[in-house]
Amino acid sequence: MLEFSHIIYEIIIWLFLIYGSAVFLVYGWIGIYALGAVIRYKKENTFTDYSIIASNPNAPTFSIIAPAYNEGMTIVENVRSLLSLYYHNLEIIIVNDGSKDDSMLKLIDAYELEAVSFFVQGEIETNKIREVYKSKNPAFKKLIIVDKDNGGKADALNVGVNISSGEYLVCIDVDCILEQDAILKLAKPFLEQTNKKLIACGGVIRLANNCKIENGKVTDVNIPKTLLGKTQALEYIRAFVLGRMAWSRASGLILISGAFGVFDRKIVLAVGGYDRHTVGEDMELVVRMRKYMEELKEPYEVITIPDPLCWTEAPETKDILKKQRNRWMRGTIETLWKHRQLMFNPKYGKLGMISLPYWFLFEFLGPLVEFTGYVIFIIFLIFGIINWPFFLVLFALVISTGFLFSIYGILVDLVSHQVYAKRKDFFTLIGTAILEPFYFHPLVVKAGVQGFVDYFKKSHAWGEMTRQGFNQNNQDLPFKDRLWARLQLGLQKWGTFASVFFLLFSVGIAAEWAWYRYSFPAINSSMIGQNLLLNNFIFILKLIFGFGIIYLLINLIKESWAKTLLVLAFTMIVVSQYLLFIYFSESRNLLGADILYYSEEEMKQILEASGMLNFQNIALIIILIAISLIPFWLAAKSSFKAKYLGLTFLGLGVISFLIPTQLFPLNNITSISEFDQNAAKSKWAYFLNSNLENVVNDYPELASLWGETNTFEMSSEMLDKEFPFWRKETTADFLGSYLNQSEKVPNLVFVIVEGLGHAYSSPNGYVGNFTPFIDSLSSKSLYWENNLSSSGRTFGVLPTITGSLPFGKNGFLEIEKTPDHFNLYNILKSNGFETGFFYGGNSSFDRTKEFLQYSKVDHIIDQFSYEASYQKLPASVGGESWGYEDQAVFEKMLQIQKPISKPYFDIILTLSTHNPFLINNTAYYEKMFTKRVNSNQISNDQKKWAFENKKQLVSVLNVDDALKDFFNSYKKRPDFNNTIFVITGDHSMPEITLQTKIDRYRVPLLVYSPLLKESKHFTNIVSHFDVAPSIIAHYRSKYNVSTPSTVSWMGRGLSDNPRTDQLRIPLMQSKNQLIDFGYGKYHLQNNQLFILNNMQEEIINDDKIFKKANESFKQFKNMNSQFYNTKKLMPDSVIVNFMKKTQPKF
Amino acid sequence: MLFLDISLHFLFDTFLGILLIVFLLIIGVLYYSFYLFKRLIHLIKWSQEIDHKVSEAIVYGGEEAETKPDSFSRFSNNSSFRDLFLEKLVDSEKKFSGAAQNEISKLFQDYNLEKETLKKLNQKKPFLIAGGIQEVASMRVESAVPKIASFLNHPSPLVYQEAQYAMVSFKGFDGLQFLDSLSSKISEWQQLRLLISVTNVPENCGQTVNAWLQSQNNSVIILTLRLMRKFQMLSFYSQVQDLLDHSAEEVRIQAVQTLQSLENSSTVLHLTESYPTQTSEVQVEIIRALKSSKDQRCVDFLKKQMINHPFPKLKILVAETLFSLGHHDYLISLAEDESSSKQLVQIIKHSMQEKVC
Repeated sequence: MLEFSHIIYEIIIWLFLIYGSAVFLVYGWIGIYALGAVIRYKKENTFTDYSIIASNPNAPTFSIIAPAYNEGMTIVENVRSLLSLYYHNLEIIIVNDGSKDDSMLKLIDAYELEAVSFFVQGEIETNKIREVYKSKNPAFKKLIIVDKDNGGKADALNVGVNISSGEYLVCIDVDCILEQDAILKLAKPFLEQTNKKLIACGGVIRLANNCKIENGKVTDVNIPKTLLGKTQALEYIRAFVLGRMAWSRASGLILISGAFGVFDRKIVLAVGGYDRHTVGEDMELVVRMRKYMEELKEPYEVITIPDPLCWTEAPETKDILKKQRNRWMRGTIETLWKHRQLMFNPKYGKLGMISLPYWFLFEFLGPLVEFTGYVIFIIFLIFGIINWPFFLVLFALVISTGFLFSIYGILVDLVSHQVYAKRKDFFTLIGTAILEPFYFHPLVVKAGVQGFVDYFKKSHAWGEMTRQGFNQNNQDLPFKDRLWARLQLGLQKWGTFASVFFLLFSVGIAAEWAWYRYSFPAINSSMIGQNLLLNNFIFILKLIFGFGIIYLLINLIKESWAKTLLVLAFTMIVVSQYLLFIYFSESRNLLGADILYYSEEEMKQILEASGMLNFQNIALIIILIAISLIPFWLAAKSSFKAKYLGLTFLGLGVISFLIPTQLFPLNNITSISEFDQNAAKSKWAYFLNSNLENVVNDYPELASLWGETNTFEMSSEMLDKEFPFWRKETTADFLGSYLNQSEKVPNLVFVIVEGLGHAYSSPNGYVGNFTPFIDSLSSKSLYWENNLSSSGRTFGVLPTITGSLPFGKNGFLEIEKTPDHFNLYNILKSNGFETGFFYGGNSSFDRTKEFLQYSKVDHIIDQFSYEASYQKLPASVGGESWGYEDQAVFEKMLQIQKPISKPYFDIILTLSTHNPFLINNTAYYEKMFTKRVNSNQISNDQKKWAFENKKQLVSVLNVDDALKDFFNSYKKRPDFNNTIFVITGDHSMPEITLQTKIDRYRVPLLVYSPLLKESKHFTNIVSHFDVAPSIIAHYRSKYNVSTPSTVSWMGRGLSDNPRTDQLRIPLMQSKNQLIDFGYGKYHLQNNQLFILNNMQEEIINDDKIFKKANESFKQFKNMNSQFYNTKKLMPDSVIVNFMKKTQPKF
Repeated sequence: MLFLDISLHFLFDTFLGILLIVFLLIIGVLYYSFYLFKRLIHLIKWSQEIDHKVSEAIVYGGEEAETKPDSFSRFSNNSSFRDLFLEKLVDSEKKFSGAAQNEISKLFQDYNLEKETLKKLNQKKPFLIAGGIQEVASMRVESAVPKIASFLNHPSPLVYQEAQYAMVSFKGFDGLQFLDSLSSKISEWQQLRLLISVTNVPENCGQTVNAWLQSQNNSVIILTLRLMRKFQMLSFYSQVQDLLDHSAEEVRIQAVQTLQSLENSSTVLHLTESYPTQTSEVQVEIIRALKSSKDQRCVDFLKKQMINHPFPKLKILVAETLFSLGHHDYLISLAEDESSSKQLVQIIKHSMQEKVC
């Protein structure tokens, strides 16, 4: 998972870096391009004589439209300023948008107005015009004042457009102060047009704050007094002199400021005027006009000229500034969403392919990316994903680039118009540029993000998706209709939810597939990809159906409950998809209901030891939650207009239940490895099914609903149906014929090596021999190559190997009060053996300690028993160590278990070959690994496997080496010659790809002792269930050890011939998964039957055998279930009596 | 870092490198800004001195002009100063005429600024050439005319437009010869400039003007029509009348305006005859022409339009024309007529500027 999260972090960092580079390049281009444009304009207009149109009656008519709302304080002065503009053919239209103050009275009084009949030619729909006024005084004949009902700025502008008669419209904010020659300068580009139609033109807006204004004219330019004002002065320079000029030159301009812009009236009328439903009407109009021209396929342009023609008051309080920026952001989103079909649409030329994408990527996403960037990079810094120097250099780069852009803007402004020509103002601007990134910029970004959130919160128009709550009208309907209305609304919403869920889960599937490809280059990625997709799609559709029904039902009761439930549940499901596949790729195990059988403590230890509980992973989960939660939250705010999408999803869900998944290609091919097959499964589907099955198992009455019986047949050897496993002890002393009789009762030492699979501990294994010592020992031992463990994880090994015990529901150890039973510990101890258990980890894990305490083991050595001189295994990054290294465990055993007069029985359980496979002295064993791989003992086929599983195999080499040292030390002790060693593995590592299903359980079994008469290699199948019966039989027959006459052994004892007819080996893969069964030479798993030919699996279709095997498995399961219900293996008296009767003999 | 095999360390170094470049750029930009700012301060100072110099020259004439020779000639070899001086002279030249203009030209010659302007004509950048043309035209450097003529076919609109203007400035009507073969459109702005610069029309221009009226370039025809209006070239009335059938609407509109300008007793008749075949925009222009003609003969025609024409814009104009021709009563009776549509009533009220209160 750590690697996965690192890759995710890298992707995130790279995304930001790429975005950052794009911003850098785009702004670099803007800077260079704007400078060229400004210089060109200046040179071209050095000697322009504007007077040729100032008084020319043939010059076109310009209509100034200035909407006013509650501007009573300044309106008279503002109008006076407009009336003093130099231009002959001018019409000044002031639209009073239903002001509540005395604006109209003041105007009437000041300009001698009288209401006149006015025929409105324009046909744009607007709110009602109350009156149109004209002045009685011929000096003000250019003036038209319109009084109308309040309808917002766009509506007021539309009234102005309707009323106007000029060829060009100058739309301004009434409180703006225009330069005297503003119209002359703006008229020139319109008069100069030849081949391209100029549809809109803007001029540079500057800040009037702190400037000296006399008679409606700016007479002395000063920089604003407040820092907020100064920064905005700087921002206006950057926006107008750089941004707009560059885009103007590139013919990509889509924003002419609402405060000051000129438009071609005919085109404005043709496109229907301003949009009254957006807060960004200025930008929206330009986009619509451009769209119109693109559709007409007529050449056109939208430009801005660098002359500072308009002065406006900028907000000098944070609150007003925030509101303004919030509105700009909402306006941007509304325009982009409204014209989304133009985006990346080559039909719309530069507008579709450059301008709108730029606006989307940089102007809209800019603040959002910057905000998330800061948050994420600070989190990364805190969690140590990036270091301080990296963060600082990146931060410095961002800040200094911003500063560079600002001072470059000041430079270009100097080249262009030298608005701020006072020395003090010039230096103040540079100072402001330094402070801007720390003071102003965060404010603007925050307001932008808030605007984004507000847009979705209020969500007044999301294109086709509209907010449709259950409104008052519906509440009044009769019950039946109300229900139907609610259902329809629910379906509309469901369409959005299901689409978002489908999309996000699909991303999860893609990530899973990509992750497997990256982590396991050898897998058949296309086949797995196909199946992952199919299996998961079926799963999602089923889930969508299930959740859909639940959602619709809850929605009938309360909409908010249904929404909350969905948002939380879907987020959880999407996030879990990542966790489930990462778990699989780390452990190569499918996670199922076994998760329920680990206690909180155990879970914590697993997570800590595997290094999962570190900041990086937690941060990843937080990021995943955020990435999933936000789209669902947005989806909760909107719904589709039609209910059909919701219905389609439900319909597909129904169909998905009918699709037989067995038909999918991978599900029927056995030549594909177990790992590949599992990789192709839907991890979520498996998890869910496993847990559902678990619930059914917990409540057998549920199973009986399906007609499943819980009975088993009484066999001849059963002593009591109440205790199905209780039988007479009949095991023959198989070991006797291979072991010399010792004078003294021999000691017994079991070495159980964690994860020691056959595949990598034998030259015949498909991975190769990575346990040279064990391999050399096998040639001196009784060696069963085809031995099976009883479980796919460690939880099964102790009860099986020491007591040949059945599993109960979730493994024998999980039974809360250990049922009375016989095992090697308690039988041998009652005969006077000293007993011990040696382990490097926590013996409480898997409830092992309870089992050992029940068996009254003398020495229970675990991680809390070691002195400081012993070395622990390394801890994973951000995690904890599993416990002590194997070398320590062996050493400790030799230290504690002294050569004594009485015999002893010890079990050593190793640890270092457990995930995350971290060992001390890695370099040494890696070298050993390389040497081994390059030796002729590993074939070319095996090499491929070896390299893929290097980390695991290095840890195997480590344990093998530790075992070798252990034996070398042991040999020097006097008791060595009188000791029987049993060496085996607890299960195969699922982390090393399994070739066949049985490989999970295939572990070597060695009985080694200096007492051996001969070594022997057996190829018949035996299991850990056979060990305890044979050991007991040997000690009984050769050393007169008291053993119980009745037992509950599952195994029949070790043997040398293929007892295929008798073999019945239940195999429990995980604590909740009892699906494997060894039946003679067959392996039954779920509903598939395999024949084992020298442990090579091949699927067969033999109904007869399948039926028999299945019945036998069922018989076991029912017997096991009977045991679990009573928690008793035999009558209490049997054990009590044996213990009472047996006296220590040594 | 796994991607592109780039290590975090390498990335860090890269950023550090970029940061260094950004810092260098910041220093560069700051340095250049300070330099520009300093120059700006100089320019303001120089500008005052030049203004002073020019006003002195104009007010006192050549003799007293050299009152402070040192302070002025100190800079007169500085190229930035000379550029600014030139700019100021050209600017001033537009504002003055007669003796003052001569004084300005004298300053131009005295300081040998001709060299600078002619140098610009050999530059490659269009805006520099255009600037040079403006300067030589303004300072009347006759020797540059052949060179300017060669710029008439320059690919840059900026250059050829400036050359067109300069040619007209130098040669008056003869400078318009380029119209004979002009294929590019003459912008409104350029037309206004050219029209202002032509001060008289030679009598024997008939053939040339007729050729222009036949031009394939509509903007040439329009410019010619405007020229006719300016110089009241009545002899071309019938040729203009023919243009009422020109395929381009913009030409027909200009033709209507020109006919109105060259008005004779038959103009009203010609216009009303042509009216039915015209587009609404041309019709509007015809009504405007009728309004200007103040000819009572068109009243019946106007009344017909008032009732029958579908476009409000035209009706407003018709009503205004009737109003200006003194037919208030007719308009009032029409407004009071119950059979008149609401729109018509409103249009009449609008055109009569009736006060509501």
